[in-house]
Amino acid sequence: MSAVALGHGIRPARRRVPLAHRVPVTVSRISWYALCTLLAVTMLVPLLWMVSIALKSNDNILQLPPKFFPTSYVWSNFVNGPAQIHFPRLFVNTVIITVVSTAGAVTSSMLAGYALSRLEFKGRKVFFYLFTFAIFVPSIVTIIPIERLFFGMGLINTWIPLILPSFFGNPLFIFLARQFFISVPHSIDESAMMDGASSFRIFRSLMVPLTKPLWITMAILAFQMSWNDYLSPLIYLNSPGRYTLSLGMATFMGTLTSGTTPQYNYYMASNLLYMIPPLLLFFFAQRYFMMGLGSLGLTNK
Amino acid sequence: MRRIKGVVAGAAGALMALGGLTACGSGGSSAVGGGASGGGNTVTLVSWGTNEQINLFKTTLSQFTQKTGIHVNIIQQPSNEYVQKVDAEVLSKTLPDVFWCQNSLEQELGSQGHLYNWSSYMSGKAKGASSTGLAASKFSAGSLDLYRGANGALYGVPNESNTYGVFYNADLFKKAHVPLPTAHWTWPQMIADAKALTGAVSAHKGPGMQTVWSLLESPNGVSFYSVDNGGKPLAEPSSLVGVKKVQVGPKFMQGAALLRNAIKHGWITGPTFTGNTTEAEFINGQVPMVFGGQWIASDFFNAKPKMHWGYAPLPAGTTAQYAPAESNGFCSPSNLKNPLATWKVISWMDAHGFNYAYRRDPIAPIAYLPGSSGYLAGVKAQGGAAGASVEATVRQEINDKDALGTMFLGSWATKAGNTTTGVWNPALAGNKPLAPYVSKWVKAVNSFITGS
Repeated sequence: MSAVALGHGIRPARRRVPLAHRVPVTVSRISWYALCTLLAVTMLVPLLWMVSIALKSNDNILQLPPKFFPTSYVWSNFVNGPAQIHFPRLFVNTVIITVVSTAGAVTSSMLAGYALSRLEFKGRKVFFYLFTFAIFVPSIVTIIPIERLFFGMGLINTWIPLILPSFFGNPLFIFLARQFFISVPHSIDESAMMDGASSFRIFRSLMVPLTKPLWITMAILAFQMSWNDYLSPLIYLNSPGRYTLSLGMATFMGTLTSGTTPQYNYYMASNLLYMIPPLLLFFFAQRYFMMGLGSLGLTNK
Repeated sequence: MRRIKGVVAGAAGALMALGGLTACGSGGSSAVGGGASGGGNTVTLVSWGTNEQINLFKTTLSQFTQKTGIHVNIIQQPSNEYVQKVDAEVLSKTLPDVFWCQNSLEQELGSQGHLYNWSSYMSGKAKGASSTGLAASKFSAGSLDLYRGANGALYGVPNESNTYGVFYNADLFKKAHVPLPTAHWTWPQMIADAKALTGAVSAHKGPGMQTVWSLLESPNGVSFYSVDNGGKPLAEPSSLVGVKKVQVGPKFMQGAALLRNAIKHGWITGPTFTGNTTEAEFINGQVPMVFGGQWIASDFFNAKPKMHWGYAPLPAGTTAQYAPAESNGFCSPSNLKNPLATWKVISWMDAHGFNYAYRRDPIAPIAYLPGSSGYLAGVKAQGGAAGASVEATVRQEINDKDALGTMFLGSWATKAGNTTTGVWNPALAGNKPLAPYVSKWVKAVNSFITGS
């Protein structure tokens, strides 16, 4: 018999043991929780610090070293701070503009994405490439020409410049929608067409329910963009009664050529209230948001 | 389920309709646009003031309305991206009747012909102008010149002024056996005090003086040293409007060397120091001296620090003690429909309005000296030696007959600022040789001026 067969002088090949089996479960679990805790702390501490500042009195804000817990809890900051900027009125203004803009952005982008993915027409690919290219155009570049357009139309000091552009589609949303619709099997359209459904009927009755994660994702993103928009309301709105919350929050930040410290306690208190609607929207819709982002890579096989 | 969907759809549709109607309508507060479309007995005034200041302005302007019958619609504009907003209003021809403007913004818009020329009103020649009582002779030295264009037209009326000096922790001075700064302390004394107080706070061990405003270590700041000691200013005229060239002489280089030496030894912070936490550190007794503008005092008063502190003016030289000439202003569009009513509003604010507002919320003195009494009283009323010290220093500087501009005001100013960052700052910080780099800076800035 050969030396190999007897196993003399030759080591048998090692089998690779998976990492999950090499590292003890306890160690891996502790590492995982430690990492999650670190990330959670990084995200939560600024928020908790905002609450801390919001509850402090004027002479407590610039303490050194900074103290997390206020020496006295001034709950009235949550009333007096928002009152300074007429918060309820600005809140209503912002809700109207945001909801209408969100509806416009989602509707127009879904329709455009559906057309690009499902309807055959000349120049379909060219349009798709144009929309994709538009994603990379910085929005700041288009401010002056769009300003001139709206000023020429006499739409200064109205909400139209803030709302109307959303009804012409968002390039990123159109791209997302087109990719999502491609993943939906064509057999669905075909069977609906055989039953006599038009393209719009297919879109409304079949595609919209099937693509719920997509348009909820779009709604969340569109809501955030419109809710936080500062530059457009600044440029187009002149009357304080029409201002949005973003402009109202900016008025806390002090005068222009001096470095006067803002009233941070009022600012943080108002900011916390300002943050609530997008936070609530995300919490209620996060399942669909994750599904929406996760489904983008799927294709119809 | 269908019923719920129907209700939601109905609510969404109603909201969209409401949004559409409100977007198109002209409800709510009246639109701005007094300059282009306003007139009559209503003047629109735009300010970047804080919420508290706006409320105070509203109160004083209601008294003005009772007296004159002129209604003032005051609108608060956020200071963030203020210039962008004004540019949009210029484009849409909706500039308000009168708006707060920085000096640089006024110079830019004035040179482009967008601003109203107040010369005839300031001189009292325009009909009805003299009745308001605003006199050119009662403005602080140099402040009116800041708002004149190269053609001599007055494109703005100065309002809030700034003064500069050194806030000091009196307790740390006493502990270090260093005499407190006086009203006419000198440049060498300031540097010596910073040296003596370096490392004075055992837990901190930092420089004796921190600079939260870049003026002191800038070329314009060193120009103050030069003129204080009998030398030439960096540029002429003293307002720095319409500068034809910059120049440095022996006294200027002496001042630059003095500051460079102090920075190199760590007695004062360098030109790139940002000072984000300086105010908090001063309030908590950790910084002996802070160079900055008088507006910081309001933060110190609000914080109620436990230490004794004061405010000293810009130091004196061997021959003079120049004060800074720097202020914001009121500007109006060139197509102003109601100049007399607007002039009355401006005059009221400068002569009475700020006295009322800044007595209660002291932020800045006013370039129109009779309009500063409210601010000075307000500061003094904050109490103690600190209040008296700030009041005395600000009063001294705004009444100083010798004044020098603090910033370049031309289309080349931005490029000059970039060159200061890239060439001047390393030289003053001690990282590059001083004389060759100052010469390089002068050459570069003069080329910008010539090319503009």
